[in-house]
This record gives sequence, structure tokens and C-alpha cells, in this order.
Amino acid sequence: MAANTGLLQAEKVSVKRNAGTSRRNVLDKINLSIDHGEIVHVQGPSGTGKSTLLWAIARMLPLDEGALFFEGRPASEWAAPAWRTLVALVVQTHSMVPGTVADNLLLPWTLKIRNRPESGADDERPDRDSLRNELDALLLEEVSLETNASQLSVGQAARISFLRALLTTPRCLLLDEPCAALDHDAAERVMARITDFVAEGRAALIVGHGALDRVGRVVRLESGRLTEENR
Amino acid sequence: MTGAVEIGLTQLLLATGFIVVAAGLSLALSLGYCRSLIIATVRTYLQLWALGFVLRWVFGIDSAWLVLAILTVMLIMAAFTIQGRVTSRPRGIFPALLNAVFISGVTVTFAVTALIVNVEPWYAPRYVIPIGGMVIGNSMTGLALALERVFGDMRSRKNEIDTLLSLGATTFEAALPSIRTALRAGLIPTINSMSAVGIVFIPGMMTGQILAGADPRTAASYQIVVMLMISAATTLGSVIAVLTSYNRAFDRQSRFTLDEGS
Repeated sequence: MAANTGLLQAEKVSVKRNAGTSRRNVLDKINLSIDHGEIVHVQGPSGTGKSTLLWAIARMLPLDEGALFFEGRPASEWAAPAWRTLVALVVQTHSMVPGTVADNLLLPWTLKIRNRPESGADDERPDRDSLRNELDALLLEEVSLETNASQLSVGQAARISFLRALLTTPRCLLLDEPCAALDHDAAERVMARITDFVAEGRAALIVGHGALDRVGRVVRLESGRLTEENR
Repeated sequence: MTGAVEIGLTQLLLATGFIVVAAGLSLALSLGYCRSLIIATVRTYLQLWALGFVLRWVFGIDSAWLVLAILTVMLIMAAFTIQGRVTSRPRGIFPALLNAVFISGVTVTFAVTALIVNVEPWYAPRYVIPIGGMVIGNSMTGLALALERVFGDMRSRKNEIDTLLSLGATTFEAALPSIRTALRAGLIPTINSMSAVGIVFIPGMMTGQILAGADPRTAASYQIVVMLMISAATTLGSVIAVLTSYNRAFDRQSRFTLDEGS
């Protein structure tokens, strides 16, 4: 059992990658604990494994060492898809499934993710007005629900993939550079939405480069090690 | 019935003359397939002669065990051939493939011989072996196409699959669009040939029966049965093969690992 029972813990997590003939530690015995209602920013130079950390926590990469816990219970108690319902990862590619923007936003319902006990949400489909409001709140007024998702700009796709993950109602959101392709105003709206989200006792772990880290705690990842940043 | 015109050595040599022309063209135009063409011609002679002798022997012995043994060898060879054609496959799909070929091949072959052609005894080699051969041989292409496509399509959808998995989708949900694409791809050649048959071309089996002196209407009925059974075997085989092997693109933790080579 994990020593404390915050929302999500990574204990001594190591992930190795092949580097030529040897294997290099990308993450080296990382300890990280995220509490209910907390926003944690992971910062550090490019290529230090910030994305790897998110992928490892989402169990999208195998751990070479260490363990993950959710509210003190080991991750092995959940099958991987159920775990990813608790801990949803928004990957940096912001990939859309073929279809319209509405098809993408309704994925949590078509995939029946919201029916799962881990989701803890009701599975009633939102009406078009509420989806429209969600888009407007992220400054996506120009995007119609009927827009073909393949025609979205990078910045639009980034916000829609963020929203799509949000609508799966995970307990913790893992966001990989959610604001990289956004202008300042749009990024502020995304951060406001994250702040609302964690206020419900949920949490967010965000990889990014400063600027939007006014709210929450900052940790630094360098040479595979995490250090707390004092502010 | 007038019976088939016998083809003797002279006729065979005349037919080989066409290959000499083709080989000459290959040499003249430096196409570089002269050698392969000669080897293929020799193989055609040897393999089909051998087949003729073997079938004659098998028909003479008339044993159920021998028929089943031959079908088994055909099914295993088919599974190996399909595996060889699927270039982008992950490891370990052979059991799924063998299973698919066995279930579809055996079910459709015996459904046709027992229920439609009503052969007596049930294993009558003169019917079971050629019909089995046609079912297995013709469904191979569809199965290979479906398997090639399911993994190829998943590879091209890598980002989308990772996105779906990271949102909590199961491997089946993430693979489903590729599964559908693959099953369609596997069936298209069969549907195309069903649509063109009799208009664009006269199929080989019907041609053979007519040349052997059968009434063209009987030959047509046989051909209809054959086309339908091939499409049934292709559908059944592709569905089983794809549904039992798509998961090879994922590891036990529902991670997409198709190109990791581990």
C-alpha cells in the first residue's frame, strides 16, 4: 500500500528506453503524489521524459520498476481500460476520430465510458446546446458541431481533444502540452476549465512550459528525476 | 456426354511453345523473368502431373481417413501460405489463422458435399477433395487480404488508436474501424468476381466441366454452388481470422504494440 492516500501516486517509477545497444533510464525512481483538487505542472527541458511520465501513469507504457496507486489502491486492481477511465490522458497528437466534431465529443457515450463504475458520471447524452456552450467557453465559436474533424486547425483540435477527455469525466486528467498551439486567451480559457474541473475533487497533471502555472504546484523533471519547485 | 478430348504429349509440347515465345520476349526486352518463367513452367508440369497421379491413387483407395488426411494437409499448407502473404503481421497469428482456415474450410466443404451435392459415402474423394480444394484455395486470397489490411490499417491509425486507448477504450473498440475495413477488403474480390462471372469471364471450373463434356446448364449450377461456397468460406474465415488475431497488435495491458517488435 502507498504510504499516503491522496488521489494518485507514482512510487519509485522507472521507465527505460532503448538507446543504441543499452537501455537508458528516462524516468528514474520517480515519486509523485497528487491530491484531490490539485493541479500539478511538470516542467523541464525538452526530451527529459515529461510525456513519458504521463504515458507511464496512464499505463500506456510499461513500467520497468515501481507502482501506481489510486486512492491508496494499487493500479493492478483495475484492468487497463478501467484505469484509463479514472486517469484520462490527452496525448499531444490531438488525434480526431473520423467524423464530425460532435462525433468526437460524444465518444465518451458511444464508447460507453460514462457507463463504467470508474467514471462515476451519469450516462445521459448532452444535448446540442450544452455541447455548443462547451465549445463557446473554449473560444471555439467558429467551429460547428457538424464540422468535419479532419478540417480542424491544430489549436482547435487541441481544445476539442481536451474537451473530449474532460467529458469522459476522469478523476484525474493527464494533459500533454494542452496549450502549446493556443493563443493567450484560448489558453486562459482552457486553464479556467481545468480549474473548474479540479474544484470537484478531481486533479490534473499538466506537462507544459510555464506561463500558465499560476494555479497549482510545479515539479521539475530533469535527468529522470523529479524535484519540487519552490515558489 | 461426349467426354473430353485427350491431351497427349504433342499437345502439351505445343502449349509449352507459348512459354518459349514469352521467354523469348522477356530476354529481348530484358525483363529479367525468363528464368522464373522456366522454373514456374517446370513446376506446373511436375505439380499437376503429381496431383493427377495422387488423385487417381486416392480415388482408387477410397478411404475416409486418407481423404481427411489430405484435407488436413491442404488446410495446413493454406494457413502457411496465407501467413506468408501477410507481410505486416505481428508474431503469433498462426494458431488463429489455422483455426480460421480449419473451421471455414471444413464447415463449408462438408456443408456443400453433404447437403447440396448429397455425395455417397460422405467422404467420396472424387467430390470432397476437389470441392475442399476450391473452397480452401479460393478463400485464401480473401483471408490474406483481410489480415494484411487489419494490421496495415491499425498501423496507419496508430495515433487514433492511442487516443482511443488513452481515453479508456478497450482494444476491440480501438480496433473496430480497422476490423470493419479489413473484412470489407477481404470480401471485395469475391463480390467482384460474383458480379462479373458469366459476363466478363467463364470461370475455370465451369470451363473444365464443359470441356469434359458436361451439359453447360449442369456446369452453370455447379459453378453457382462453388461461387456461393467460396464467398461463404471467405466471409467465415476472414471474420474468424480477424477477430481472433487483431489482439496481437496489443499487449496484455491494452497497449498498442504493433511496431515495437517485442
